[in-house]
Amino acid sequence: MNSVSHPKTKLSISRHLKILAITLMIVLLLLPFIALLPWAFSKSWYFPDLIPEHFSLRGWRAVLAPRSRLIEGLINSTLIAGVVALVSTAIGLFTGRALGIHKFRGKRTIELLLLAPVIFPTIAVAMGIQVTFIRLGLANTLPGVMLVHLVPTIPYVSLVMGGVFANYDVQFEDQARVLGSGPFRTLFRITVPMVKAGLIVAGLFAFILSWSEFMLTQLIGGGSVITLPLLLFTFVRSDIQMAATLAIIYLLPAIAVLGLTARYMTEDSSAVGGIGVV
Amino acid sequence: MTSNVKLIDVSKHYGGSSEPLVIDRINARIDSGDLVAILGPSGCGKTTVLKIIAGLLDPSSGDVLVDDKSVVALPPEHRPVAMVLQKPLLFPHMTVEENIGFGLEVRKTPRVQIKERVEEYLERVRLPGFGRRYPSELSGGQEQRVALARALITSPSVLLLDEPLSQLDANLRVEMRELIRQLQQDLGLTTIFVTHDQEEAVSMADKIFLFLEGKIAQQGVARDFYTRPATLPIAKFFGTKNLISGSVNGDQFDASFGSISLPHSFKFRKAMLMIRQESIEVGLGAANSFRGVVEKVDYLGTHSLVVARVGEDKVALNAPPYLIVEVGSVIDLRLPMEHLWVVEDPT
Repeated sequence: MNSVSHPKTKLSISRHLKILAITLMIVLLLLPFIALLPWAFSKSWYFPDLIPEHFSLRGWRAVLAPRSRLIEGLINSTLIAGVVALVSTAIGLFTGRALGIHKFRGKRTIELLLLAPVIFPTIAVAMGIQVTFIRLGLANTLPGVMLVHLVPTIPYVSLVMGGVFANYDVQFEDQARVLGSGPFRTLFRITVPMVKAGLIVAGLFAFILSWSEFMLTQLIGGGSVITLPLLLFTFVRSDIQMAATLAIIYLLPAIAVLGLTARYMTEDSSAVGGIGVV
Repeated sequence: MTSNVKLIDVSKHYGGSSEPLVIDRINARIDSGDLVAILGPSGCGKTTVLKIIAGLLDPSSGDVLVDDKSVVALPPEHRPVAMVLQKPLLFPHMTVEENIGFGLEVRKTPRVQIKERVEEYLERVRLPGFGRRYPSELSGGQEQRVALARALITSPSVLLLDEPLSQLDANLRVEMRELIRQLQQDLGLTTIFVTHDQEEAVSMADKIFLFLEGKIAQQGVARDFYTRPATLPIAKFFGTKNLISGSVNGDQFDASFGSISLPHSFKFRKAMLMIRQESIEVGLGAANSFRGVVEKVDYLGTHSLVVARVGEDKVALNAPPYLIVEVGSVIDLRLPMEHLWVVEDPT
């Protein structure tokens, strides 16, 4: 009897642990965001008040005023993240295909080199690039910032797509070719649709990475390219209500993207394969 | 529209030139309208040959001619061939209709015409009304038929099939075999198919190319492979049970149990006498008759498989089902001269 009941208790313990872990995760993730709300909707919030004494929209008025450069930051952030997502996904389609399908000598080394910009401190990478970009006239420009954002996004996208292509049968392309389809048509009619879910997940990842990039934008943009994280950083030091309000605006696309990715990740299991690699 | 195919000294090795040859100086001629089987065990290079004809692989040397024009410089999409690979490989994001029409869509055929032709080919592969389905809603046999329709609709001059039946279960395979043969004859289409299943090759093909270790070991009609194999490995591949060692002496063969008259002389000495077990007769005759002792009997309904010891050798034969044979009894065998064949014993 004992030996029968024993695993049962064990199972329920692990079940409880799992529920506890998930609850802890949600609380830890959400708590900082909840703390934003009182800041964003009050005039002041002093110790030892549990909730602010006076409700106020001052933060929102200040952020939405033209002086705050919110619109400029929003446009820049969206534009940069959009272009970066598109370009890095297009590159990741090919690098990922090569990594996922071909076996070649030095593949491990190349995978490691791809990760290098992620492993090394951003500031070290950015300093080297800045010198070159100044010489090329790319410093302090929108295209310059977009280019430098590709440094961290391409590795991620390549590895995600590498995982997707590891579960992909390249014979589909051969089949299309022997049916009379040229290489370009095969790419757009067969390859891209077959890894579509993976491309979307990878693209959304790249969007979020670029959207939240601070250091690279600051160094290469040199203050002339204003994005949301830059504005946020300024406000954090000067005006906590504005910072909290902006943080909420800043978070919305990220949450939307998370929701979309979750949908695609559950919709097509082949796309999830890529996430496992990262 | 149908064409002949010639392979001239085609060789292929992967990697550097020091790598071993996958196929070694293949020469073959496939006549217009023929259904030809490339038969061989796995890893003998037969799929490589097909991929070279399709343009999915470049030969390391040699030439491929379709209607006496070289095609090796052409990319696969510009060759007058269509290929069905081992797996059906239906594009999962397209319906059956779109899959079948793909080859026409690529050739910029007008939509209305594509629709008509797709209907026609759905009929041909006996899947009318399946157009709107997705590949994931089909069974293995249905997928394979869609794959076949998708290749045929492009009106290729040559159809290449890479083990198209290997993933199907036994009764479906027979059905598909008949369908392929019928479509091929209706369209008069030159067809080359690869298989490791000799029964498949024998039942379908006008001509068989037997591949062993990257070379064409023998080519010809099916019967030749059973009754006149060129070498010992071929005889074994085609399931010859009776291989009696001995030596050739003009048109005589000296075995452990006596001398046997051959239909004609063979040029080698150390050899193996072969006779299909279904060609041995029970009972005494004028020539080539021997007495043996029954060692094993398996009654199989249509015949009994009997193994008898004759001298130092064992001989297998199919005895008629009405003949009652007992283990340990004496049996008289006749080896009809016209069914005898000799292959060289390389040892």
